[in-house]
Amino acid sequence: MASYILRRLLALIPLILAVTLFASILMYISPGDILTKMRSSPDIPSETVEQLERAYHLVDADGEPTPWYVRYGAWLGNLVQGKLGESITYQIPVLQLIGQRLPATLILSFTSIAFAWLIAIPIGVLAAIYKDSIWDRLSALLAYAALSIPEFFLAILAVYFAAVTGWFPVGGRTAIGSEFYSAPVQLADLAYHLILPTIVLGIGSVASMMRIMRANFIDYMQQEFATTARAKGLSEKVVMFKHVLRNAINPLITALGFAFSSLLSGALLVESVMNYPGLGQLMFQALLEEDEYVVMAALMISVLMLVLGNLLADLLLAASDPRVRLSESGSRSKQLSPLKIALFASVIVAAFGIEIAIESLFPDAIPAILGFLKWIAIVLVAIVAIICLAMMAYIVVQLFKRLGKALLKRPMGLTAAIVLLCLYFGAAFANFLAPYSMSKQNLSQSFHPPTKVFFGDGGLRVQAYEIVDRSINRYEPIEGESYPLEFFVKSGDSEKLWGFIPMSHRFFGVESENPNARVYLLGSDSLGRDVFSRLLYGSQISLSIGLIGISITLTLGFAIGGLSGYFGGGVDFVGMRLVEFLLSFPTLYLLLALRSALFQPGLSPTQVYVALIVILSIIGWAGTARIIRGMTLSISGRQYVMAAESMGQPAWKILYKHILPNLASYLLVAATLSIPGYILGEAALSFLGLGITEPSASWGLMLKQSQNDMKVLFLNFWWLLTPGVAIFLTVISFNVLGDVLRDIVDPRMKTQ
Amino acid sequence: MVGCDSTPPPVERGQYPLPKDVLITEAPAGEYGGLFIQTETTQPTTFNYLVPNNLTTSIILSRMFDGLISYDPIKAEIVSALAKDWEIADDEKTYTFYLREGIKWSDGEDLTADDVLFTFDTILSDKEDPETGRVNPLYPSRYYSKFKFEDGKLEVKKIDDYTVQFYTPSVYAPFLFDLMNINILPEHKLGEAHSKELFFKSWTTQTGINEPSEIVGTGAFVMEVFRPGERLILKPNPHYWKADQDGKRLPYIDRLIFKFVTAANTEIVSFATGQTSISGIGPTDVAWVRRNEALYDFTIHEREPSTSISMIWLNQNPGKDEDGNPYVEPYKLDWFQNKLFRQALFYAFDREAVIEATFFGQAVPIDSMISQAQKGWHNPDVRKFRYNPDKSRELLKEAGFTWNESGQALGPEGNPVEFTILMPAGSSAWEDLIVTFKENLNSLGITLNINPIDFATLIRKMDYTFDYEAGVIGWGSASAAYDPSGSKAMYLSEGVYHLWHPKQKEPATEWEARIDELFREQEQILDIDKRREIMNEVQAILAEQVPFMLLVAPKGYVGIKNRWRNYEIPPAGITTWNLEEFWTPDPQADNQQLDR
Repeated sequence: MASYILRRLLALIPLILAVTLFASILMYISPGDILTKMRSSPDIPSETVEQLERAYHLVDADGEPTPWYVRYGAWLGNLVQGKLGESITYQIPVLQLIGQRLPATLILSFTSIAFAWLIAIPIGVLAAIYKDSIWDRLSALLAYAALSIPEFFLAILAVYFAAVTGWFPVGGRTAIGSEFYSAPVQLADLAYHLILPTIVLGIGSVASMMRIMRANFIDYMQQEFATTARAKGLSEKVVMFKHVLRNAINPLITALGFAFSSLLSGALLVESVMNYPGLGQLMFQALLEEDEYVVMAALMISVLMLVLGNLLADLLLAASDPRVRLSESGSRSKQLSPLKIALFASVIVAAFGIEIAIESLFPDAIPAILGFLKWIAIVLVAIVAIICLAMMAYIVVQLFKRLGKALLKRPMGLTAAIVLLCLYFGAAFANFLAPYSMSKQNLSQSFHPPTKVFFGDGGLRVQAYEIVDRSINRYEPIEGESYPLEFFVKSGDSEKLWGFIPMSHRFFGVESENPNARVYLLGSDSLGRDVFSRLLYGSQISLSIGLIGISITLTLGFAIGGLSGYFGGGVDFVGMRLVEFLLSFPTLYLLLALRSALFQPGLSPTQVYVALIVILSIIGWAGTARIIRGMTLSISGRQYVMAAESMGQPAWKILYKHILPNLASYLLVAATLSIPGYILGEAALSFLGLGITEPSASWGLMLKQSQNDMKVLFLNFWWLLTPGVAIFLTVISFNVLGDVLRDIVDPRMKTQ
Repeated sequence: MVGCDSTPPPVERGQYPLPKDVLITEAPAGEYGGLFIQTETTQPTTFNYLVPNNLTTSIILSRMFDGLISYDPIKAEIVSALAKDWEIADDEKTYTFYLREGIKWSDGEDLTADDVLFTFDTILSDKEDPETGRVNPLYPSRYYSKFKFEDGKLEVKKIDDYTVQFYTPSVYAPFLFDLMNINILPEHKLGEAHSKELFFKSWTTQTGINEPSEIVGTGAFVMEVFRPGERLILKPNPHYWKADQDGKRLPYIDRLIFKFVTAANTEIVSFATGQTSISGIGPTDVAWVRRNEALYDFTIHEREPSTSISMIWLNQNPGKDEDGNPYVEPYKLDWFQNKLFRQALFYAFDREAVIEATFFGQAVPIDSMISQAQKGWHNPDVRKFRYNPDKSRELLKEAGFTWNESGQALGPEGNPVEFTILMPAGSSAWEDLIVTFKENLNSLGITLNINPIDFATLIRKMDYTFDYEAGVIGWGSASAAYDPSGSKAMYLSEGVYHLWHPKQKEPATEWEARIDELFREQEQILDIDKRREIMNEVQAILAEQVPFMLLVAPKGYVGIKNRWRNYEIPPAGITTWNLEEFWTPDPQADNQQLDR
């Protein structure tokens, strides 16, 4: 037991080294440094900035930028001496700085996990016991809804709710006067302030845990041991709560470890919207300002939390389930000799050594090497893209072949599929369906409410409006004035459908001499642009990001997971360490760090879009790879695989011909269930101002623009929240569809 | 948390006698008590004001520290503070300050000339860098260079315990304005750290958390509690040197509470729901916040448009990079350097429509580099550019531009007119304006590409690599708020922030040479009216030459609870500049806010 814990803790060292090294390099690549703010300040002389550059070792004595390995080496040197460095912004040791914030974050993490458990388990059990009842369906519906709302959007709504009702504090961790309270009141006050953030942060996990709980519970209720217990005359109550519940809870314990670490990074958005003074905000600020040592230390803590969380989960699992034995490797994988590990480590170290040698000895060679690498990268990307396309085509064909008929019989799934088809249809033909182009302004009609469309004079007509109160942009319909709504109107702009089919007409619109005669099906935004049109154009980005991202993720996940699972040994070791490395990097920070490193100046909107997809899929493939590895592992032990092997078939053929078909269903389900992650990811990034930017449009960007100030809520410009509704609709459809497909593929997991 | 007793412990008053040279304020006398709650959207990063910091830090520190002199924004003049009087010798370089006698630091120690000397020693200390041989300030801050003139550093001399003499090697008009920003620090608390060169490690946020009473000042308030990310509570300084006409020591307020929020949204919502005493309010939020005026008993006051200036500029730098490539395509540089082209673009920019659409009409187009809120310095009679596409076309024709049959504008040399503007990503304030500018230019046949980039990259291009065509940036220099000399680096052609063509060895154009000359001239004249006249001419030249296409300034609004007395809202700058005089006849009313 002790040696097991020790070994697990030892594994921390390489993980922390890898994560911090990666972070250090990313920060080095990204433009700007801690002095950026000072450089932009007109009354700080450049001599001062230069002096500080040297003082903080950003440049060496000659004024050249310090190479990354020197910076990382310095940090490592400090670490060995037990020093984590100082924050430049705050001029205090980083541990002290983090200590100021850590308790708040830990408390929130604990309460939201506890909240999730306390709510999810009873509801999940009830839903399982009263399967197919109205409660079961209602809870399923609520779970879908909870999973489909972007967390930050929920947080904004919660703040608004608190402000309007006055039932809860509008953000913060304690009341202003809590210093003057007696101790018990202080505690109560702390709890009172925790309620809303806990709910917002925990509600997502409530939904997913509840569904897992329900499925497990149903599964175990039909197992033999339950039947035996019943046959022995035990009451149903005892069977359920003594025998079934204990077994059904196991997967949740495993999930606990991950919940622990993901809360740390997941809390950032909630923290900043709900004004909760946790570590997330501090680290976000540090990353933006590139306060290097703070970032590194915070990363170390989150890796620590992940590993300890997982360890804790494993220990708990062992305690609750005597069948589980503590061991690191699955029974099938081949053990790796220490020699090989050492070899692997030295190859990595040597690679870095060569890089450092080149950089310090032949600095002129760097551009040439970079150029060469760039070409290799382009070729690789092209190959991956082709493989991805093939993969997607393959999966879609599989879908129709295997699941098409079954899907037709399920109304929920069918509805979801139809909604998605409509949305994608809208995206594909946006240039034709949208009445106006994405950027067509009408500055005299900002924040215009949706126009009324009615039937009269032998056709559809659009009501005319005039502005009655400029200070709140209130419009009133003009009595008796309207314009005919016409179909197939000539468009003034020269847009091309899919980039090559010139479009001379649009599906509908208003033709009138009056420039203010416009049809706003969903109102207009701050520049008088049509929200409906922008939603359609925006869907091109928001909807495709998920599709492209998931195809990359699945391909990479299959390639690496499949190879790891099939070959085992060294390949497995390398693959899984890579996966662990990516999984232990807090998602949102990885996203931010990659973003600032990848977004070089001069990127066109399209390139920004591609970069976003790359970032999201780099983050996404690791989890998939891990699951696929497990599945490949079990399939590769089957007889038909062995038969193929003994017939001398090459490995790629076995993977493609025997393993892939068996994984296809899973991949399909995984795809539908993970696409929402991409859509929400894009929204979250854009919400932070780091994703798609003007003049392009995406749902995330539009939602963010409507959140810029509270007037949207308080002046009731509700139509500006429609991007949120669109995100919600898409995500819930994908979730429902994914669930239905999973039911078809694996009836045991049935949740309907 | 309704019903729990949360009354803060009462503040002990009157236990110390007033100083000999106490300042009796002019405002009507009030009553003790009350809580003043305000929100801040950033966090203090230090409590040592010489450590480079942010706006919130300096707002908080301005409550806890004083300078020798201060500024009265209502009278628009420099007034006495720790120094009761000062005189300027005939050489216009020697300033003598007489400190108020009997002032004590908040821990009870005497304030003397030694503290003033100590403060300037920390600012002006320097040290030779052994590697480069350059002399650098020991503690790099924005203040060091302010007091380092071409002919040497500022000299500070102690005449006696209550008299200090400053000597500026050359005549330097903005000196008093610069001095205003220098808070005097206690030698008895920081002297030891300074002698060990550890001054920057003193009074960190950790000090504020663990030992708030260690942070000793002369300001109206001292720190009681600091909770990072949550709030900072100040209480009255029992040794403060101002008293009212009844001889009661100021401030009246029992607690000054800064509540930290992460978003400006939260700040406004908190005020609109009656949770804070005061808040700045954006022009488009005024309408809905005003609905709560009666319910939460506050009033919204209108102020002058914001003092911060934002602008678009075209890169006029004719230089080349290391490989000999010009920063800007030569034919484009010809356009950008052409005054008529710049004027034409400015005429094409429909700022008024954006003001109507997104600011609900509550903003004004900026005409001069010095904002209209800076009374006295602002020149209202410069050339004004209002949306006029016909005029714009006319000017372009005059400059030799033509249009092809599809309406595309062509330069005099025949190239289609197209350029790219760098916009800091995520800066929604400018997004609407730049997107509209793009559309405006589009209807003139000019293509403007918007390139959103990291702020850091924009700064790098602007300051170091210069390889861009146009950019947009905001301008808010704290020290320029009272005296435009704070923006020296922008006006002078050799300056780093002479954005369109920085660090010129010789002025590239006649008008830039003229601005250099005028600007240097006004720095050496102590007569403020003459200085203002000269700055008027500088503004007029800039407006005529259009190196900057200035954007818009939103109107400012500030909401304040009606129960406060003695507040006077200045046209610009900090609203609560005389917070020590604020009082309320109903001090209990705020107690319930403590539970939010």
